Amino acid sequence: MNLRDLSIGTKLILAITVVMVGVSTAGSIIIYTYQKRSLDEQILERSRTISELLIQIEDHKLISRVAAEFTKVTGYRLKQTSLEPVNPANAPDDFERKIMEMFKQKNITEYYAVVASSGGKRHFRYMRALRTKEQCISCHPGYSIGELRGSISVVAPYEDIAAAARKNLVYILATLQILTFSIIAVLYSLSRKIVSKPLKELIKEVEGSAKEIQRGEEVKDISVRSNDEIGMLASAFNNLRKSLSESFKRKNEAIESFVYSISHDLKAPLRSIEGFSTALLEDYGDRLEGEAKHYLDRVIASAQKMGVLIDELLEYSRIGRIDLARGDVNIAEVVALALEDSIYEINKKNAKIKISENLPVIKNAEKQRIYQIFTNLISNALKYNDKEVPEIEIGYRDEGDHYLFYVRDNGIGFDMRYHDKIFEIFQRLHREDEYGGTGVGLAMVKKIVETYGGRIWAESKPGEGSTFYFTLPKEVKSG
Amino acid sequence: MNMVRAIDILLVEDSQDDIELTLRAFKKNNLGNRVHIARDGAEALEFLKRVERREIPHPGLILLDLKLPKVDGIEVLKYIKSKEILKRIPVVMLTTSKNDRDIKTCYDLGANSYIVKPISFKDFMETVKNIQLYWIVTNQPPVVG
Repeated sequence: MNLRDLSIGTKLILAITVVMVGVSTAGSIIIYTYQKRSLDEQILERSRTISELLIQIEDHKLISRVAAEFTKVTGYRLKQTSLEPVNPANAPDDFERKIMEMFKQKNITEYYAVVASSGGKRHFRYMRALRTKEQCISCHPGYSIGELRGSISVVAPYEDIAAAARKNLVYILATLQILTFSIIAVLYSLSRKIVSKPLKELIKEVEGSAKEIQRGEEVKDISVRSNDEIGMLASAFNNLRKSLSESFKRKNEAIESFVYSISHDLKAPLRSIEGFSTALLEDYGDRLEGEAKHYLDRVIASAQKMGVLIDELLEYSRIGRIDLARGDVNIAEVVALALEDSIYEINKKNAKIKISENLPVIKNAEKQRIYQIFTNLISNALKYNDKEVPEIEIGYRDEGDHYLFYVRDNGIGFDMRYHDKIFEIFQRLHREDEYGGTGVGLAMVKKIVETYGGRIWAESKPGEGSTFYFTLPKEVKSG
Repeated sequence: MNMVRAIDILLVEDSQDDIELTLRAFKKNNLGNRVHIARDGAEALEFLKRVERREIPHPGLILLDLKLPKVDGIEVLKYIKSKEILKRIPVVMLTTSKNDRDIKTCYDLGANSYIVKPISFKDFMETVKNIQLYWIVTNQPPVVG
């Protein structure tokens, strides 16, 4: 798993967990060490005090009693020992002997250490050197001042204290970790509330408006719910979208004026070519010999065709870019208009037209565009038809949120291999002298249908006619 | 039908092609109007000032392009409509501009008609013919005084 794939909340919690666990562990260890040291100091202080006290007592019997009493109260064993003991009970053990040797060599008063005994148990051991003092000389002549007489040895149980400290450590650790995890839990729910949830909502809204933009719908501002960074992000997104849409609008206007002036500037010379060729033909036609007249006709025809081509390209470039008047479009009315357009062809070819009854109404559509769909498909159905009686059938089917329309003919059809090609701009399946045209019609139909969120396709067999299908939503989304 | 009045036409147009095609259309309609040509706004103003000084006869119709070298068609229109002697001459804007603002401005300034030059030759010929028939034959202008 990659750290980058985690959500911000999880990352935060992970970081906080690591820091908190580290801090609480370090804290526990520090507290433990401090506690242990103060316990050690306490034992040392006790040992030192009792030793000091014993030294001050001159009555030997009293010493034994005080020691016994102290042992009873504290559990510390007290012992007087010497390198040359008079009483065998006072004979030193290995540790005591070693320390006393040291006392003898160096002028130190006390020594302490934690020592493990043969049984494996640890003891705090304290040794206090007993040296000859001035007042001793009176009773023990022959001693010299400062000479080591022996030691007071204190053996304090240490195991219990260490165990207590360890137990303490466990308590501290447990308390701190519980605290840590409850803080993390609180932070987690807070981070969800403060960071994750608003961020997720923001992401959802942004994705929603991305979809609206993609579908060409009107985009509402994203709600700014707070004045923090997330709120700022939402406003920043709104500003970004606004400036993008403004720049898109400006670009679109620039394209439109460019396309318009291009088409105008391209067509103005065409008017002259056609005009002067016509003038030449009209004024000097009878003086032109051989092919000359025919050539002039070709010039005029080409100029006219280029004019049509420029118009169609201009129109093609405007689909989906320039919003025409919208409203309820009655398909029956549009089909009638489109047939009116082809009335000359229909009469000439003696074509039979069959139209479904109750053709529906498309809401919020551009009548001009819907008309362009039908007029192109109908004129194609007539054009690519060499039957004695061309038949054209126009119908539809209700498919829930959209209608499926079809324009069927009994014309020359086409090989389904070329299915995608016929919808491409400037792609034609026939030579121009067979069937005239610019190759823009079906591309334009496809672009309109797709701009409205529909689909278009055809089914055909050479010689058996074609059916063009397309879908249109019952209500077109505003763009 | 009204009598064909022998009035002069002022054509303000910078494109030589358009001038020749317009003249040809006039000639084909055979109405016998004299056509004065101004190739830019400055020439048009020059002509109009001479009309004001009564050095040349008053034109009965002005065909005015918008995008003109030197002085813009709008300026020429403003001038015409601001002068007592000129302001009743019918001014037909004949231009390539389909711009809504241009159209509004022209009507606000008192243009009598606004026509977008048809791009096809046939339509252009037809339009020129219609202009001539309507403004010279059908339309009744005030008596020039």
